[in-house]
Amino acid sequence: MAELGYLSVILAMVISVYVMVAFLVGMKRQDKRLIKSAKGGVAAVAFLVTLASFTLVWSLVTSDFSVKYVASYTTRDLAGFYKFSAWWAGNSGSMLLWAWIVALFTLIVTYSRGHDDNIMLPVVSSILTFNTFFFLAMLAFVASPFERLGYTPADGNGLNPMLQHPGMVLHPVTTYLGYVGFAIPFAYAMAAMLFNRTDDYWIKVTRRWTVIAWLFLTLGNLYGAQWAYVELGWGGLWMWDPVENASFLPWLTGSAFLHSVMIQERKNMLRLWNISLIILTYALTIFGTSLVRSGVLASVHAFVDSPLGGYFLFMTVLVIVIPFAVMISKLHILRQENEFQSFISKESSFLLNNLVLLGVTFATFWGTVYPVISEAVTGIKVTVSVPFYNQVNGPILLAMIILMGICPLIAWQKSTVGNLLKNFLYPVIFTVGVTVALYLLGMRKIVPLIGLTACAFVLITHIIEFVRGTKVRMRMTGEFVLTALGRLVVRNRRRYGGYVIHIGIIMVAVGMIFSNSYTLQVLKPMRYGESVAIGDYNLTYQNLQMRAEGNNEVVFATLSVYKGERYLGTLQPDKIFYPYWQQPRTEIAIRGTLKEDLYVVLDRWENDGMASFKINVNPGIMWVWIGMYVMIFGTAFALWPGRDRALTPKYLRRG
Amino acid sequence: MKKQGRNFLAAILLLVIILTSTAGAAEEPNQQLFREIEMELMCADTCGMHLPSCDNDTALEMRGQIWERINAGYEKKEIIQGFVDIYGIGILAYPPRSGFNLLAWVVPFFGILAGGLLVYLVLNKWVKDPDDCDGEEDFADDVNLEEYKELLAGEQLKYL
Repeated sequence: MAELGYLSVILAMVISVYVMVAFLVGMKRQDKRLIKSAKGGVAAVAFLVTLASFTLVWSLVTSDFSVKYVASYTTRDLAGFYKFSAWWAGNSGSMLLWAWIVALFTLIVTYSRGHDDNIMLPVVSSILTFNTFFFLAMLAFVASPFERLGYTPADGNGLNPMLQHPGMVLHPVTTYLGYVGFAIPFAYAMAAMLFNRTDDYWIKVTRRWTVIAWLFLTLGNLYGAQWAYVELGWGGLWMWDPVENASFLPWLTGSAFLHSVMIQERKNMLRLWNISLIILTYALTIFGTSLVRSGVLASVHAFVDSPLGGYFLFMTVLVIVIPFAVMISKLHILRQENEFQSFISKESSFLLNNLVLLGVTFATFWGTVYPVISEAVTGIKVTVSVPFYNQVNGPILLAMIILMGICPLIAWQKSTVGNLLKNFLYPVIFTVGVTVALYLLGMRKIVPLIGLTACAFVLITHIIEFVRGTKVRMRMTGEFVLTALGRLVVRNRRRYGGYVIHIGIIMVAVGMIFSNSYTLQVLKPMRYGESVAIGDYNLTYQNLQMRAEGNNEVVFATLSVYKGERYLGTLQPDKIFYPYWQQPRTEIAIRGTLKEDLYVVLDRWENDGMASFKINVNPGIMWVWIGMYVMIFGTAFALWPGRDRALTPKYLRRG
Repeated sequence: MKKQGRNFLAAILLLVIILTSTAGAAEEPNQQLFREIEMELMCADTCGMHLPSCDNDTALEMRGQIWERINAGYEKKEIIQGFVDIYGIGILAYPPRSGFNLLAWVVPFFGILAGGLLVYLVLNKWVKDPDDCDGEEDFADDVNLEEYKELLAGEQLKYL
């Protein structure tokens, strides 16, 4: 089977070269047969990469240990689900997954309904196919998952226990879907420049792809955070690790792009800026991949000993230099003629939003690469970790949150100072009220107080948007309140779906502010029967036991938990010992509520049963996960097919 | 509508109360000092992890050393400097705010200031009449209404 997989990769790579050439020659000669043939080639590449993926998965689930990749990442008794997910546990397998996603996306784009006569399609498909080609070339010549060992070991080395978690199954897939998804607007942007069609056509065609890519990247980041929280045992969500930053960077520029395209759709402005943003976003996805695979920066998430970093760095340079060169050559058609009507307008606020998002991007990028710069200049490698990002990115992210609240209150085209005062009055009164309430309730730390004040401001401005729209609608149509609200949001899904996403982001921010600022922690060695108090909780260490789970041994502690006088039950944190892995896997015991998580880690123990525990009370965590699902709902709502999804209003012309 | 609005605000305030009811809970001073010191250090192992996030043997040993020094009455600065003396500045979780490394802290903000200046210059060029910000009050008040009318007009085109 492995040979079939490798052969499929080689064939797909050769056909992808044909596809690129046939598309470009067919387009130049206006040869429809050649273009049709190239389209067939796209289907063939997708089929072959699917076949290659299938053969790898087959080798994994049937435990064919003669294949080096299978022997490296699985064992015979590994659960079937994780045998399947081992597809992307290693460097070469994860590249095959990437290649498969690009090939499928290319197929979908190439055969999209209503695009048979789209003159941009050959260029778009060629660019996407180039991406597939790059990954296939890496799989064929640098890191193949189909390499045979030359002998068949009795069992494999096994999957890193930390990866045996649903979060680590979902995180890479969603991240890759996000990364690859941004290739489509990127390819269309390139085609738009080459065909001198830099109006909003390419943006409208790719809007759904962009939003879906953004959603998956959001999920990728949040699933990664969820995995870190429940698996790594340090009680936090985000460590500003270089690899985490790598997937955060394109999310930031992608978010900026999602907002600034609205100005191009409405006013045909910012054409140059939008093309720059999508180039940057796509380049950052490749840069992120090169970081994960290069070993240049130390990270707990990176693949080790990979020869691929150099190739990906080259690819990063390529996807920056060539597109920007094309852009510079097309500057004459990218210049804009329209104007803003006022300094104070939604358009201007979107520019500020872009400035802030790009500011966080730059600061995060700078922090990520600074250790390399400092070492090159001073000879001493410094570390850039959590305290740096908290102090540098913290204020910029705060500005971003505040802008999220301001933007809905400013009208398109033009607002005046009087208009602003009127719109801001109630939100500001409400926000001040919340701040005073927070202070009176005992919140004295200034940083979270400011952060939560900003979140309250955003929340109220968004609620006001729903209320105001409903009221206007009731006045104009005479509809009942719920009918008016329902029709307002259902018939303007893009706008109100966007607001729901904003509310989801605020929930995530509130959860993170609370958990970063008010976590309580106790590190305590305890004997049987001994108790520890943390916050309102009282935990008593009952016993330490061991059980067998298949070939694994599980050491678990039982702690009874009380809140005041009320018995809440027991928690059982454990450590799982795998016969094939040196380090045990830590299973954290979490008792989660809307208010807080009680988070217990079994650290270590002695033969006499004395055990050390790390116990946290992490407030607000549940809101991060709820916010994540609110964001998914908002995105699905905005994208739901139907008559309403394409409503992108232009200004009414005033006579 | 007003009643619903009040209910919503009450729900938000309830949420705030739920979440903030632990916010005032204070840790004992030494615990807080320990966490502050831990936050500023990396694990001295080659794992590349921030000390509060790391649970390997080196991290546990470092935590023990921090507690020893706190209990011995050392100040925060002295304890951190003690680790720097042993492991070098790479043990700090952030670049020192001096010499060349000051650049790490100031460059992002200079970048944003430069970006802000660029946005200002661009807006100055694009805005039709920069001095006209306070004029046409009535028109501006109408804009939001216009936006909703426009949405309704769009709907009518689709549904009627």
